[in-house]
Amino acid sequence: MGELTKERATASLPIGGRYRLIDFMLSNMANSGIISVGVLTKYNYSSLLDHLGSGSEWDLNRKNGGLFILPPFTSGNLSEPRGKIEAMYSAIPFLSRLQTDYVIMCDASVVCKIDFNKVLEQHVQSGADITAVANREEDDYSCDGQDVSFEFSGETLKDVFIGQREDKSSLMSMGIYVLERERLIKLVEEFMSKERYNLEKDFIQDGFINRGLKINVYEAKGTVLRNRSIESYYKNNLRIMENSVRREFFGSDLPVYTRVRDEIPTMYGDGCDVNDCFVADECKIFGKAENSVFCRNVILEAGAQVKNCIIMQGAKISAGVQIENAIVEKNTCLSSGVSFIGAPNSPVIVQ
Amino acid sequence: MLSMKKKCIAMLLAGGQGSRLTVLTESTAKPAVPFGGKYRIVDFPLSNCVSSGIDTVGIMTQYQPLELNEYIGNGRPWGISSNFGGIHILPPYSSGEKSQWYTGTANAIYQNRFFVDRYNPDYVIVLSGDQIYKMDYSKMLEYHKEKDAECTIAVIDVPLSEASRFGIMNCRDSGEIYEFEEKPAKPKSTKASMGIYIFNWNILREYLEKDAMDPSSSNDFGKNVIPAMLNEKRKMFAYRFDGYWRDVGTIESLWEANMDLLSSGGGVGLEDPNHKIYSRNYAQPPAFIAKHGQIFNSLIAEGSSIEGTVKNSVISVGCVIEEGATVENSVIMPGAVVGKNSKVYYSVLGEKSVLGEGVVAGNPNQDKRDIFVVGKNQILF
Repeated sequence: MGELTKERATASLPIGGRYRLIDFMLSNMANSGIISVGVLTKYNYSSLLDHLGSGSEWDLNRKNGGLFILPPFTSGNLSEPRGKIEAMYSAIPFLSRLQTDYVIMCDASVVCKIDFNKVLEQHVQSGADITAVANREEDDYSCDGQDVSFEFSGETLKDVFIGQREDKSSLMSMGIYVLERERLIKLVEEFMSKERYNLEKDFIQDGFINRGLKINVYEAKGTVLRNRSIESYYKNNLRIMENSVRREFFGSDLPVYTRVRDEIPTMYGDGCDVNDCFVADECKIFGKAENSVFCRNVILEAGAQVKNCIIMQGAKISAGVQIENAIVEKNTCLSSGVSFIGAPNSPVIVQ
Repeated sequence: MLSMKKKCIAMLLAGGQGSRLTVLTESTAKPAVPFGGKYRIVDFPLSNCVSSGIDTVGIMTQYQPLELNEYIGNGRPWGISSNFGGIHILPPYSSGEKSQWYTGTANAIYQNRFFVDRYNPDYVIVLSGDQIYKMDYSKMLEYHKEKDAECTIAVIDVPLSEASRFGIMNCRDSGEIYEFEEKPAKPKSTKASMGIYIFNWNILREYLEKDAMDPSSSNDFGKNVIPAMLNEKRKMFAYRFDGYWRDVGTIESLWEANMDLLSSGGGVGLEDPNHKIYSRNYAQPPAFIAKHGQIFNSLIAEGSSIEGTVKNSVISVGCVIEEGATVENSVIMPGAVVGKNSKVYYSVLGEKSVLGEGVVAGNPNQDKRDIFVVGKNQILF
């Protein structure tokens, strides 16, 4: 994610104007009635901590269960964990204290709406060792080197690929896995001792191919927005404004919860010209904007022009500024006359 | 602060029917009426308490309190939920001998005298839940103490031509009140009572008890208690307030106070970060302004979807303005829907009201005194 995650954790990247990526998974949990949540942090996690607080927005500020921040375990040196299994190692004390039977692991950077109860039900019924939640993606989906793809022949799982897929009928992992809690603890300990750190490759793929691991794949319907690169993050921000996606995520009675701030409603001036934009509270919109997302407290002066942009909180865009296909970092002040034009699929980051 | 005694607690009168707000208060208490796109009227006195360091508020409800009660909840959104103190909803309750509805503003506090006693405060500030203003009550309390007053009444200067609509305080140069005239035909001063009082609790308690024993009394502050205190020459002072203040008891004044927000820095001035207005916020996506949406000089709150034209208006949380619809000089309350090609002029649309396709509400050439109102949950075709 380059520049965008230099000072913040991916999970706390803003999306949809007033949410952070992690809000979607956390809200899925809250809406599914999950009361114990551990958040594994990697680095740069202070903005995430600030956002999560005590977890009260997701009903996690409670006496039974709750929100637990689990800082990273690094084996002496300060590098990143070498895979999900190593990352989970620091969660073992937390996992051991829980009384629950099952654990749902997921990536905070994946934005989707899902009912975990249905996933869990299917997992229990299937009797599988692990359930992976996956979805089908269209032809234009390009695989990431870490993408896990489940290939089926009829109803039977025949292959697990990493970094490639057969075609659009493949089920692409959403990074959501369900397994028995005690099983998870054992596998983490076992694999750590063998110096195998990658959950997808070492446990799932290798397990399936060589050790008869029984995998149940739950097919998720609905939009899945994976945020793995600046380009995908940018595209997702614009995509979330599309009518159908907007309705899917925000139209139901299962809301997306986020940390609330007491902000005043946005004021739109006389000469403003706004088309297909998401605008959060506390903005002052006097200029021209098209197909863009405005986070809170943004000033768009008269005479400024914004197109296909993501404007993060506190930015100020003065008269005469022209920006297109860009991500404007928080609190950036753009003075008159500057102009930033990115390429349609490759936004420029302005800070 | 975890102490057994409070210096000053607030008692907020929220029991009135607000009948002049007609259909907007048909099923909800006046303080719960929406304002400014995402607030409720009660947010203003509550937020003032927060900014003034008052951590204990009793809210006396009576008329249709359910929505207000749910909105207030445990007081967390206003940061008033400390271990000792907090916001307490005080409906009339039965205490063995008899139960009685609140018969008047003074009676409401009289019936809750034991609640106040629990905190053993030196001072009680009496507020009403239907005014839009920002005020630091601690300054008024300082004045009260400086003057060694037994009762201080906040007053605001009104134009002489309007003075006959208010309770007018006639004062000496020192600020001491010597006379109080309710809606005088010939006003002797322009200092109107804001309905905000600070009392020494022991004095107030005494007068409330005396008033309760008087069967001919209407148990009202303005009509009974204040005049009684004046008659007995108690030390009463007028505290002059200089900021923006609106009693939003009528549709017109409610509409106007909303419109005032549209001029830059205007109205009650929501923007001052040193004196924020807190409210209970619900999870909402940002406002979506569609391609056909056109906005001029308006406030639009989150969760709304704008596909039509909005001019000089306040659009609250979660509203839908459909394609071809026009909204001008109006206040649209939370969750309302303005259907395709409908026209709304000089109106107030209540919460979750619906205008079907092609409906016309209000009149573009309307005299601003005559605001068209659609009630909460009302549907118009």
